[in-house]
Amino acid sequence: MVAMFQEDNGTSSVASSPLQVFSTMSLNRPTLLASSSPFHCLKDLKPEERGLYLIHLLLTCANHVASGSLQNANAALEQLSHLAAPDGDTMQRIAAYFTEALANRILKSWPGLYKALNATQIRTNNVSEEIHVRRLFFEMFPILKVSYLLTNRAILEAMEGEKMVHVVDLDASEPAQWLALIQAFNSRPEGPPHLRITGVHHQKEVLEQMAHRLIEEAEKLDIPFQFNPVVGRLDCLNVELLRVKTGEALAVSSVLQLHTFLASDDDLMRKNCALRFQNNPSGVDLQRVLMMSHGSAAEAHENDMSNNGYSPSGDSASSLPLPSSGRTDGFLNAIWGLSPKVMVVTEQDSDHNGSTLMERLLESLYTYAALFDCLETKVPRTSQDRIKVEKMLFGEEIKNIIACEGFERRERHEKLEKWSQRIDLAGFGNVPLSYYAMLQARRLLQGCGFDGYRIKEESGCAVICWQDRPLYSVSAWRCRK
Amino acid sequence: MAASSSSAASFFGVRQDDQSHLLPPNSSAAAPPPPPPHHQTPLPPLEAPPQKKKRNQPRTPNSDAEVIALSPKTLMATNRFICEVCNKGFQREQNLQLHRRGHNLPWKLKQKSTKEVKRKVYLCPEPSCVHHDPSRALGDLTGIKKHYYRKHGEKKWKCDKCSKRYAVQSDWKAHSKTCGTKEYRCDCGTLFSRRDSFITHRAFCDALAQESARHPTSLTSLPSHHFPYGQNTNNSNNNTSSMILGLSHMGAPQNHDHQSGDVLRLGSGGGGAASRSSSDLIAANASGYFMQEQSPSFHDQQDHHHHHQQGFLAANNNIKPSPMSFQQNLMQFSHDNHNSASSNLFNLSFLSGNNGVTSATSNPNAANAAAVSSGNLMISNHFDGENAVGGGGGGEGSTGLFPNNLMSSADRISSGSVPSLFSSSMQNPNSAPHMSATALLQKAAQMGSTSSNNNNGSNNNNNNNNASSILRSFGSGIYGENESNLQDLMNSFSNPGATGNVNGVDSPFGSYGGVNKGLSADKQSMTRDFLGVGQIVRSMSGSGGFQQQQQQQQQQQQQQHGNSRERVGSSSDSADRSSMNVNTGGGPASTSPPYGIHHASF
Repeated sequence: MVAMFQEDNGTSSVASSPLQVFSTMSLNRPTLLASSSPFHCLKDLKPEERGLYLIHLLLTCANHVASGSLQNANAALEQLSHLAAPDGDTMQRIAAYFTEALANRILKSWPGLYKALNATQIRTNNVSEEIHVRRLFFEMFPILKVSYLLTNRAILEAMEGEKMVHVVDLDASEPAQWLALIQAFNSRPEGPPHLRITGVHHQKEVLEQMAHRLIEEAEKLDIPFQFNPVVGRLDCLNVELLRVKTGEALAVSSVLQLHTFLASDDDLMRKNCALRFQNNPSGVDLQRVLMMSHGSAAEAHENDMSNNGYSPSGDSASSLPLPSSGRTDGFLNAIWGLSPKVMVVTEQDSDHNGSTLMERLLESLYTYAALFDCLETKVPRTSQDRIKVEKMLFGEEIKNIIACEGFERRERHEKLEKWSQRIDLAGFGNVPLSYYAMLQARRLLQGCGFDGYRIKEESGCAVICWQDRPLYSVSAWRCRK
Repeated sequence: MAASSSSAASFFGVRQDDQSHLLPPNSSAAAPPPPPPHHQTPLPPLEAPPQKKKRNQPRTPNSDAEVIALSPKTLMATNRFICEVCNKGFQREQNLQLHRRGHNLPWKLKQKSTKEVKRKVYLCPEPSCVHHDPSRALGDLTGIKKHYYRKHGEKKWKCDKCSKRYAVQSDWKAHSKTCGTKEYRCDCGTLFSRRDSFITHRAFCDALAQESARHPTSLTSLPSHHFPYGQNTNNSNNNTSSMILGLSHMGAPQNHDHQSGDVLRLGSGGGGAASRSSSDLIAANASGYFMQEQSPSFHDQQDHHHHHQQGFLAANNNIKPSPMSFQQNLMQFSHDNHNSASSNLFNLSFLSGNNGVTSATSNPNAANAAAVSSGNLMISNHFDGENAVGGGGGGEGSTGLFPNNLMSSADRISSGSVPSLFSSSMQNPNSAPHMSATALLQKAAQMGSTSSNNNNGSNNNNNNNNASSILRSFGSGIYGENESNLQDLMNSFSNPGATGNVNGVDSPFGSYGGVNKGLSADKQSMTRDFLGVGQIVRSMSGSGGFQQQQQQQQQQQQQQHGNSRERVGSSSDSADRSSMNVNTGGGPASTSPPYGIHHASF
């Protein structure tokens, strides 16, 4: 056991993380722990102790899940479920979702079981619910507001004097942003431009709703306006569909979308991970681990045949600063080909794309702790809306980060630094956000009861932080000639 | 110019000629001198918003334009052309002529002359008006009429809805059509009927307005206010009020910025990464809850909050004879902290906590960012204790130490200060003191990092010190010497002043009064100067990681022990010692691993 985790530490890039140590140092006596802490004792824990214990349990459990030892993981999960609660205090809530995610992950190593359990799951694509949650996120957090504000400012500044403006929204789910832009354009000194907005979204209803709202507003203001809906997933977006015309000034807005392109780039890496498990003396579990990776690897391969951009060696992903990512590069290049005057990118500013489960768990624990803390300060614990956001938005993200691999794992949030490199390599140059934009954003945070949030400026980009934990980044780019 | 002015002068004469008509008295002779005869676009009707830009631009009248000055009476006259048959009035002579045709009267329409009609420009009769100057004459008759009405006439037309008045009927009509239909309301509460003024306003009210623009007229699903949650938190006494939000209001309102700034600076000043400071604050809030719960008279504190700095200083004076050495002592802990006395409150708590951690590990290097921060975390939990003891040290010991009087004594002596710092965060009815998830994670990481430091040399031998053992020890209070690191830490959290020293016995888990043991008289005298520090450190040590209740018990117990000064001496002793630890243990982690020092045993 000890040897195993030492090795894990040796190869993992987060071995230095204190939390990691926190977990490993408790690994020696999981059974002792289980036996010496009867559940009734757990109930009496004070919140702080319980919180620490939950963290410890999560890390322990994750280690077992990573090593594929079902029995130990099961024991940890059992304790976790006793302590975690989706309606409890912040740590309990977080733990509830991480517990679920870990359980999901280990269950996936038994594909039969996993599929059987999910066989009757109703695949409702409940559009309104999805929109509602997104809406709640918009309301409860200042993040989208700040992102929209900065994006719009960047677009306005880039489009100064332009008579024909075309804005492409890669995630057309929120009309508010463009309503604001239309109004801002309308009040600019040189008068409004001819404005065209192309919205990409996979749900037709969302786009229809958006078109309705925007057209209404544009008519009210008497601005020449056109909305161009593109129904479809961003992944398989054909840039032709954006119908970018010569002569118009193009702006591209991507809010929390780019990271999905990183998905599926790591097939080989996962195989290597599986190989690494072979060295572990975990015996019986090995087969399941391999089965799992084979199963999903094959699936992923089908989706990924055309993209040969991934690196030949999986391990390089953790050692090189920037793993090559064929689809991302492809997409960025395609956008570059349209030569937008400005492209504004909002991304989660976290490192949730680590190659090992532990890396991702540790990082995401921090991030979601901060996000859940945000909610704790604003919304009462009993609020159904809060639970909705936590479950349907963050819970799903956590599940995706923790339980999924390969093409399935879409929530591959990465730090601004890496995005900057990528976007830079794709031929874009950074456009520093203007002083005025930053000022406005800061005032938005100040003026609207969003205490605890901060905006940090990082080489011309904005990083929205909760306290001091960076959560989201906004950066603006232009085509380099 | 001379020409133009002279011509103007001559027009004034004309003005007196009341009934005179459109005919210029002096006509083109008046045309001012040279200007380039560029095209003269007919001026648009006055005040027509879209063309505003052109309106007032100074222009050079065409040399061939007739400049006409009309009397106010002429300008105000309606229907000057009267039909002698039916007395119907017309504004234009042409119309009258057409009308006369209906009466079978002789009529004569002016023929359009083949030669080019001379352009006419009109002056405003009001001498103070800019359009009184020929160079700014207006280009059409209707324009000058409306101008005269609007600017120099009576506003006879009143809108019933908004009471706005207009001098020109058509303006009033146009307004009536839209009045009430278009309203622009800024989030700041101001109402605008005109879009442009609204936009102008937004430029000043931008951030908010940006937001309001975002939900202009109902984004359907949105309720009327845009920030329901934010508003909730700000206004309400209900449980949404948050710890973090409270933080930002920590300081007395009038110092708000300064105060919290201090807190942050301090948090990072001690060597903790800036990123950790926030968690201190968070935890600090937790102590706010304590106070709220147990002090029914708490609201009194708020009256004093603005005195908190002075109050605290005063308390310092009461408590300890030598503030200077007190400061110096602090300096030993952290050279980064050179804060003024006004921030002592924070210094103290911060440093003593730091002290606790470092003494526990006996290794300043190990007191890395994480360690420091968690020290802070713990400390902040003890503000209340600090308060109470501060009161005791000020000579109010007997009452001050009783839990029920905690706040009142503090109130009297030192510190409306501390509790009021957290006053705004106290409305959360969640009864349990709560640590944010972020803070918990940092604490866990801190434990991990400490343990990793310890494990550097010794590998995994010491791995008893895991979180689970901590957990067990929470309940049982049983420690082995080998279960070192984390328990040490936990101890040090709870007993920052006392751990790792002579007073190893004081496990908060087992013995509340433990701190008091192991005192000796010489130590007291030796550390008398640091009474203040000791007080605080000790009181912090009393409550680490524990519920208020325990602390209260402890204090009661102390009370039974007798004279508070004595205890103060002892605890300050431990503070002193830990500071010495810091100084001497400046080497690498290996020099004095925490488990080597810590002799806690039960």
